[in-house]
Formats: sequence, C-alpha cells, structure tokens
Amino acid sequence: MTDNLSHAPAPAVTAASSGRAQNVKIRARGVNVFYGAKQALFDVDMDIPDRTVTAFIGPSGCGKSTFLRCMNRMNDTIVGARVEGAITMDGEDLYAKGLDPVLLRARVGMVFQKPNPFPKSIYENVAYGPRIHGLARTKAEMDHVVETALKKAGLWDEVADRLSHPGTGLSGGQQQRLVIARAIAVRPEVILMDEPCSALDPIATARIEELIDELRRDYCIVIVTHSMAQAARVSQKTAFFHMGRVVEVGDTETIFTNPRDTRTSDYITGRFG
Amino acid sequence: MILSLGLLLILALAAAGFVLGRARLARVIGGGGPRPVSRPIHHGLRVALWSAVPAAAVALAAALVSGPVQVQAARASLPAEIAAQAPLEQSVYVSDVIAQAHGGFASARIRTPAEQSAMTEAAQTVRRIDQGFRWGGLALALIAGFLAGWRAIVSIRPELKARQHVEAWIWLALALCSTVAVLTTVGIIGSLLYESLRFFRSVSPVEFLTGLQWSPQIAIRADQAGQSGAFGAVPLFAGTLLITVIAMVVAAPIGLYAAIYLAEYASRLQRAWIKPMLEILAGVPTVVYGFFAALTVGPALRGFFNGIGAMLAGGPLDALGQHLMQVQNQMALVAGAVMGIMLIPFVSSLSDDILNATPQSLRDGSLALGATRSETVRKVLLPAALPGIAAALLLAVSRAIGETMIVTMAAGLQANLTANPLDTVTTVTVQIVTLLTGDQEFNSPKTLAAFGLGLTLFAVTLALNLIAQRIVKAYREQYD
Amino acid sequence: MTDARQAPSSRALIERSLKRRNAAERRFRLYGVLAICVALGFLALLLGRIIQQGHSAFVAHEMSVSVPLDPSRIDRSYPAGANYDLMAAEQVGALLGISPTDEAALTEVREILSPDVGLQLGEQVRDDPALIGQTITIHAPLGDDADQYLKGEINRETLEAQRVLTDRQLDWIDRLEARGVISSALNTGLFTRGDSTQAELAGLLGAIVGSALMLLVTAAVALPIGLLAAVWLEEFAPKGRLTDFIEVNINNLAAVPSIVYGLLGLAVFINTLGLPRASPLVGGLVLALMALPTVIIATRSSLRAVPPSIREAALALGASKTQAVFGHVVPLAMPGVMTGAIIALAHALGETAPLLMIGMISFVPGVAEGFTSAASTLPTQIFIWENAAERAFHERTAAAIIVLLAFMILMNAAAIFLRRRFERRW
Repeated sequence: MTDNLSHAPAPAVTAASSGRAQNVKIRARGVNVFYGAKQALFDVDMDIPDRTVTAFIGPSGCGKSTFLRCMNRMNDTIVGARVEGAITMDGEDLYAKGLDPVLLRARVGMVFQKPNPFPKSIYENVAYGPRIHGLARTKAEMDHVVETALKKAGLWDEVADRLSHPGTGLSGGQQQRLVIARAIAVRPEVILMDEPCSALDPIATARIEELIDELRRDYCIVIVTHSMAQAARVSQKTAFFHMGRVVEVGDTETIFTNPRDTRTSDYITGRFG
Repeated sequence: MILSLGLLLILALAAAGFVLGRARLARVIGGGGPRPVSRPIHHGLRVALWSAVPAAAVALAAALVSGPVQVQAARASLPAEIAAQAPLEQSVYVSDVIAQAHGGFASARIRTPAEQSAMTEAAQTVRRIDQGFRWGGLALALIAGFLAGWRAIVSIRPELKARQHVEAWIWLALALCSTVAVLTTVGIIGSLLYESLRFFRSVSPVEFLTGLQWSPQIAIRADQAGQSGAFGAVPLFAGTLLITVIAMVVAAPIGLYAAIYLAEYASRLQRAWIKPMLEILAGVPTVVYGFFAALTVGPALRGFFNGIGAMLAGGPLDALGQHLMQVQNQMALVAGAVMGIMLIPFVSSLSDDILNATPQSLRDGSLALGATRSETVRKVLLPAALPGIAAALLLAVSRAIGETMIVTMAAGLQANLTANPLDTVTTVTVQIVTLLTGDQEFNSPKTLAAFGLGLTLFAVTLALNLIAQRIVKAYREQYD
Repeated sequence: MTDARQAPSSRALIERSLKRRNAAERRFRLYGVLAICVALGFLALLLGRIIQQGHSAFVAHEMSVSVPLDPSRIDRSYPAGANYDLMAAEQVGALLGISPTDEAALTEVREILSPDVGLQLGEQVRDDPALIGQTITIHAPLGDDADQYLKGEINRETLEAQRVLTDRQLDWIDRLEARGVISSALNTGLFTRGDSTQAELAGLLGAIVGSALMLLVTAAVALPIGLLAAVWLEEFAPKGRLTDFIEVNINNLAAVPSIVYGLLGLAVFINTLGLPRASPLVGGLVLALMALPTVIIATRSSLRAVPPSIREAALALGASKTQAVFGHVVPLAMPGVMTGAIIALAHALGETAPLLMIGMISFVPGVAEGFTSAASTLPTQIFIWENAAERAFHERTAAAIIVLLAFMILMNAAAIFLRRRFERRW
C-alpha cells in the first residue's frame, strides 16, 4: 500500500520561488501612526521582500490597513493623520519632503475591499492611470497598454468584445479584476491589496487568488486579509498584527505551524479574533 | 366685524357644548353603573367638535356661495344697452356694480345717468343679498351647530368611545391640512387657466406665442387713438432668455468652483466660516439686489462702457464707440450680472451637496492611482456627479426665469428682440408686474395678458423642475 | 519574461509630466479660492454700498423757528386758512436779512423749509386758539433738499442751473447752520412716522407695522397647517399613490416663482373672494401659501429625527397612536420645527413680488389700523421709495434696507440660538 501521507494544505511557497531574489523592497522602522490624539500603530518594524506575497493578518481594528495605507501615503488624505518613523522603498525615504505622493502612488498601486471601478467604460477605466501619467502617446499605444493590463489580470478574454461597456456593469469578481488591471496599467512596482476578496463569492475569490499567485512573479504584493486560510494559501511571508503592534513576522509556513508568540498561536487557533 | 362676531359665537357654542357634555356624562354615570370607556374630557371635546365643525362648515358654505350669487344678481340687472355690448363691457359693468355695493374700486368708465341709476339700483339689490347671506348664514350656522351638538349630548353613554371619535376628527383635520398643498396647486392652475382662457378669447394663443411685437396698449374707449394692442410675447421670451443666460454665465462657474473648493479642498475651519457667509448671500431679499443693481451696478457699468465708447469714438472703431456711448443703465448685462450674483450660493450649495454625496471609494480609487486632486475632480467626480449638477443648473435656470424684483428694478420696459447684452430688454415677469400695477382695468386684455404670461411662466418652470427631479431620481438609483 | 514593472523610462515619463500636472493642480485650487473670494467680495460690496448709502438717513437736520402768530393774518373762525408757511418763511427771512416784501426770495426760503412747519403751526392753533397773538417755536425737520446739501450730496461744484438749490439758498443754509438755527439730530422720524410724499417726513412706521401684522397672519395660517400636514404625512398617512401625489405637489410648490403666488392671490383672494386689496390679511395669506411647503419639509425632517423607540415606548404603555404622536413625538420635534418656522418667516419678511400683485404698490400714508386696511410692508416700501425721484429718498431706501436686513438677521440669529440651545443629539 502506498503511503499516502496526509498533506497539510500545500504551502504556497515552492522550492523554486523561495530561492528567488528576495531582496527587501520596503523597509519600515519605528513607524507610529496617530489619528488626531489616538495612536493606531506603535513602533512597527518590518521588511517586505520583493516578488513575494506578504500577508498582514490579525483581528479587526489592529492597524493592518493603517500600515498598508502608509506605504502609498493614502493616510495623507485623512484629516488629522500623522505618520512618524521611517519607511523606505529601494532605499528612498517615502516621507521625504521632496517626494511627490503622486509619483509614489504610480509606483505603489492599491486595490480596495469593495471593487470601485469608475462609472466609465472598461477601456476608460484601465486607460485612466496611463492617461493622466502620460504613459501612452498614441491611441495604438494606449490600446496596447489596456490589452496588456487586462490580459495580465485575466479579464481580457471576457471583455475583449465589449470594452466600451460600463465597468460598473460587470460582476463583483470581474470588477475586482478590472480594478487590478487598472492598477497594473500604470506599471507599478508594488501592489497593495486591502481585503480584496471579502466582498466576493468563493469562485471569484479563487480566481483572484490564482491571479495573485501569477502576479507575484513580477510585483511585490502586500495583502491584508481577515481569512487565515487565504493567508496560508496565497502568501509566502506573514505578519501578525495585534492592537497596533506587529507581534510576529515570518515565513507563512512557520507562522501557521510553529509560531513563536503565544498571541499568534492563540489567534491562529481561533482563541480570539 | 361679522367675521369676529361669528367666530366668537361659534367658539362660545363649542365651549357650551364641552361643558354640557361633561355634565351630561356625570349625570349619566351618577347613579352607579359601568365605568365610562373614555374620560370626561374626551366626551366634552366630542360634543364641542360636533357643535363647532358643522357650524363652521355652514358659515363657510354661505360665505362661498354669497359671492357668485351676487354676481348673478348683478348680471341679471344688465340694462339693455350694456347687454348689447361685448362680453368684456358686460363684465366690467358687473364688477362696477359689485364695487359700488361694497365700496371698492370701480373702473374709470364714464356712465350715462340712466346707466348710473340702473347701477345704483342693482348695487342696492346686491347689498341686500350680501347682508342676507351674512346674517342668514350666521344664523343657519348657529342652528346647525346647536342641533348637531344637541344630538351629540343626547347620545352620551358610558360605553361611548368618545376618545376614538375625537381622534377621528383629529385624523380628518390632519388629512385636510395636507390637501391644502394640492388645493394650492389646483388654485394656481385653475385661476391661471381661467383668466388666461378669457385672455385667449381676445388674443389668439398662436399670436401670443409666436408674435414678434409686444405693445399692450388697449384703448379705454373704442374711439381712442392708439387702440391696437400687439400681444406677441416672443420679445419677452427672448429678453428673459438673454438675462437668464447672462446670469448663468456668472453663477455657474463661480458657484461650481466654490462648491468644488468647499467639498474637496477646504479645511473644517474654512468650511465652518465660508458656508454661513454664502448662506447670508442667499438670504438677502431680491428687492435689495434690485436696489443694488439699479443704483450701483447700472450707473457703474454705463459709465464704464460710455467711457470706453468715448475713447473709441473718432477712431477706427468709431461705430462701436458710438454704440457704447449709447448704452443705458438698464442694459440686460446689469440685471443679468446681479441675478447671477444672487444665484451663486444657490448653485454652490446644491453642487456642494451633490459632490459630498459621491462615494469616497471613487476618490480613493483615483488618488491611489496617482492622480492629483484636481484630476480626480475633473475626470472622475464631476463626470460621476454630472446628472446631479445638471439638475442643479436646471433649477437655477428655473429660479432665474421666475425672478421678478431684480429685473423690475433694473431692466427696461420696452420689448426688444435682441441678443446683445448691452441692449435694454424686458422680461416676462417685468411685464406681469407692469400690466397689473398700472391703472387697474381688471378685465381688459391688457391685464388678462398678465395671466397669460403667468401661465406660460408657471408651465415652463414646472417643466424644468420636473425634469430636474427626474434626473436626480435616475441618478440616485444609479448609486443606491 | 518581460519585465512588466516600471522600466526607468516609464518613471521618467511620469516625472516629466509631473511639473505640468502640479501646476495645473495649483491653478485649479486657485480658481476655487478665487471663486469664493469673488462671491464673498460681492457680498461685502453689496452690504458695504448699502451701509454707505443708508447710514446718513439715520441722522437728519432740524430747524427751529419762532413764529409770532399775527392775529391780523389768522381768521379765528377758520384758522386753517392762514398761510403759516409764509409766516414762518418771513421769520427765517428776517434772520437772513430778507425783506418781507421780497416775494421771490421768500419763495426760495420756503423751499428750504419743510411743509411740516406750516402743518405744526396750523395744528397747534387749531388745538389751542388762545395761542393767536403769541409767539411759538417750532422744531421741524429741514426740507429734504437742504438736508441733502448739508450731508454733502448736493455741492457747489455742479452748475447752478443743474442743481435743485440756487447758490444763494446754499448761502442761507450755511448761515442758518452757523447761527444754530439748523442743527442735526437722530432721525427718530424714520421710525415714528409713516410714509409721506415729502422725503423729510417719510418714515418706516407704517411699513414696520404692516410687515408685523402680515407676518402674524402668515404665522397663524402656515404654522398650524404646515405642522398638522407634516404630522399627517409623516406619521399617519398610508403609503400609496395619494400620499406620493401630495408629496410631489409639495416639492413642486416649493419651486414655483413667487410672482405666480401673487397672481393666485389676486385672482382668488381679491377677485373671487373679495378680500380687501393691499391688506395684511391678503398679504399674509399669500405668503402663508408660499411658506407652507418649506414649513412642511422642515417639520417632516424634525419628526423623522425623533427615534422610533420613543413612539414604540409610548405605544407599549397603552397610548393610542394619536396620543403617542401628539404627546411625545411632536414635543420632542418642536425645536427643529420652531427653527424651520422662524427661518421660513424670515424669508417671507423679504418677499416683494407677490405683494406687488395684490396691490401693495400704492402710496399708503400713515399706519395700517387693522388686518383689513391697506398697508405697506418693508420690502414694498423699499420698492416704492426706490422709484422716487428725490435724492433724499435714495438714502432712505438704503436705510429701509438696513432695517429690513437687521430684522432678518435678528430672526435668523434667534433660529440658530434656538437650534443650538434645544437641539438634541439622539
């Protein structure tokens, strides 16, 4: 009788990918974030490697999304938000005085929890970013950019014949892929995802997770997720947040099978959260 | 006087009913027996309502019937010579009889002695009818109230659900109050239609809506000179349109940019100060804007253009210079500009609400892609909010078309078909005011024309408002 | 695999357009700031101009003149027939060294005086004939043109032929002022007199009383009906086509031009029902119809703000629906209702067009006596005075506007105070 070892869910980290270049893309040191008088993040230190999927997990309101938004300076849009500490990407200080957030956000894209396509056509949604940044000079160039992005997001086959239809007319899963295509069209280096599948059904979720797995070959991906199973499926590195602090960071496999901190193991085994 | 007497008597009747009702209840349950279902106050109120309401209804009916009956009597007394004349003359005669009976305004018609004595006799008859209705109506009302109240008292029993009766009356009163809105609309449409139809008997609607000449002189007597009146309203529509366009050119960009700044850029402190100040601008009465336009803006702009004209005169642009030296205080530009100022807070406040209603997710999505705030507004938010903003602009246009005081005080009286903002024009509302505040010849086509204009104005503004509401409804469905 | 990430050329492309985009951003923001500055600038210009034009009307010049009542010129059986104006002019002329026989000069002196001098003399003689033979001193406002000269509105630089006052009249006025015969004081007449064709005797009392009476009628009609209608629509009405129809009606009526309401008032209240023209009663009714949609909408939102738990608690204790609504919900909604009502009334105070339609364009001297006598109101008074030719009416019109705005600011402030003080946050 062949010995069918019962496998744990196949870890997403394969030998091949774990051997890839994992130089640090984003480095955070001593990050504190305040909303007015209330402090949301305490002393966060983290290294986020390139061409990897890093997952942030933890109970609600523990600062995962706040830290995510620090990385593309979306916290700047919130009145009363203050960010202290150092966050650098490729060695560049993201909060340096001379750094234009506009430029940063072209390099660091974001996908939100609820799909938010603009009330425009599918084509115009994807073309929006390249258009404002001046990335395509002729219509032919733009067509190419749009097609490439939609293909990479795995949406091209479904919408190639109706690019002029409104983006809001697609299903939830398709809308989220459209939004991902929109982010990709600007040729970012990092893609941040804030609970991208929480508003989607399981089939659409599975497709997005497949897409994430493909995208990580070319992009640094950080995903905030409520679902530990998703984190285990999709990420190679995981950070556990609790009450505004980073409790533990490590390889996904380690975190889920042999965490160092008791709080981590309590959360993973469902004692709280 | 009779009004206050009647009110007092009806109230006294109700009060008596209240007291008697409670007394009756006490007597009915005095000798033991079942406890009453409702409290004494409810029984008292029930009787009071049963006394007062029928009485008031009868009194109101008498008051309403009295008028038409008097008119009928006056009409029946038409002397032969008047009966042979045009319906217009007959109706003037009837109005004069009624005016004589009540001591009100009569027309300026010159009457022969025979006519005068016939009128006096008819006026006496009318006066008698009027008095009869007043006193008779009051007496009938009191009798009705008394009888109804009596019946209510007699029917008091312990099991009587007086509270529910009272609540039913309240229910009825509430429902009636709500129908006042419908009645007002009916009243507006009804009165406008009625008077306009009388107007359209003398002037054809086609001539009114398409005629190019507006000079509403109507002779008092058929043999007076200058008797032909032209009632083509197109110059009025053109004047209204010109001033409205100028007003929107001022109000739309300023209002929109102000709204964009307040919604997207202003800090909380700035909003807290700027919004109330814009509200003040909105609260200034239009008569004040009219004064400002007539006494400050008009002379200032005239002086400005005259000055430029004087500079240009004699040179290569001499014709233009001569034209500019002729412009008046009442040019369309003045009234249009001031009306635009008045509309700025209207446009700004509506647009601000609409921009604030756009979902934050759109802003986040655009900013996260690296767009600047202005690009987000211009390329994402405004296109998304476009239906709402279009509706807001339509409502502003509707306001501008119906505006009266600014144009009455700052625009001209001469009808003029032109597209030049430096010319003087007149508008529909100005003409309505002019026609009805001259010598009050109420039944001539001249004054009835005002109702024709009023009906047109009402129809156009109603259409614009309905379209705007429809747009907003469709737009809201898109986002919910 | 091609590197799909940002090639350096892409970053360069973005950086190249950044400067232009940031400039566009700054320009856009600037337009917003400019728009607000323009709007507020207009407000400042409007208010500033009105205050500048109107403040001088709160002060007026007076003249005191002593007139001996010569018995030979007054007929005891008909004292009103005496030429008091001439007698007064002679006295003033005497101060200036003008002979009583110089008729032309005396006529010019009379133009400096107000007809009020003669009127006061006549009244005093009529009231007390024993005064004939004595000398009485009269204090009266200065004639309006002379008053305007002393306020700087008429000056010597304009050609005499284009002025209303001749050079020697101006000299006389200066001399009389130097002697103290002419003095300036607070223009109480502005608030104690009714309208008059003589600018110096024109006041706002009639307009203020008229407006007050009219607003009383508006409040008495619009507030109860509006409140009850809103209660019906919000609490009792069955959801359905009829209720929707009523709501659509209310929304449309809120946007109907005010002049159409005036036409309605003219056709129905005046011509069909025969109510007195230009009375506070009719004005109040017309404005009540105009204010009704606003009151209903404001009341409905106040009622909506009261949480359902209040209604449910009352019902659970055995109250009927009517008792729950009127005993609990309505009292809790009252602050919001009152605020909305005061704001609606403040708005009604400034309405003019419908009042013109019902006849309030004619000159109404004195003060309205009741709800059914002809009256004027502040806005119609402003309109009438604006059309007047005399210069003195310019400053009075602006002063009337200041008074109107003051009342409106007071009412709005009261509404805001009420809201702050009594508003509950659920």
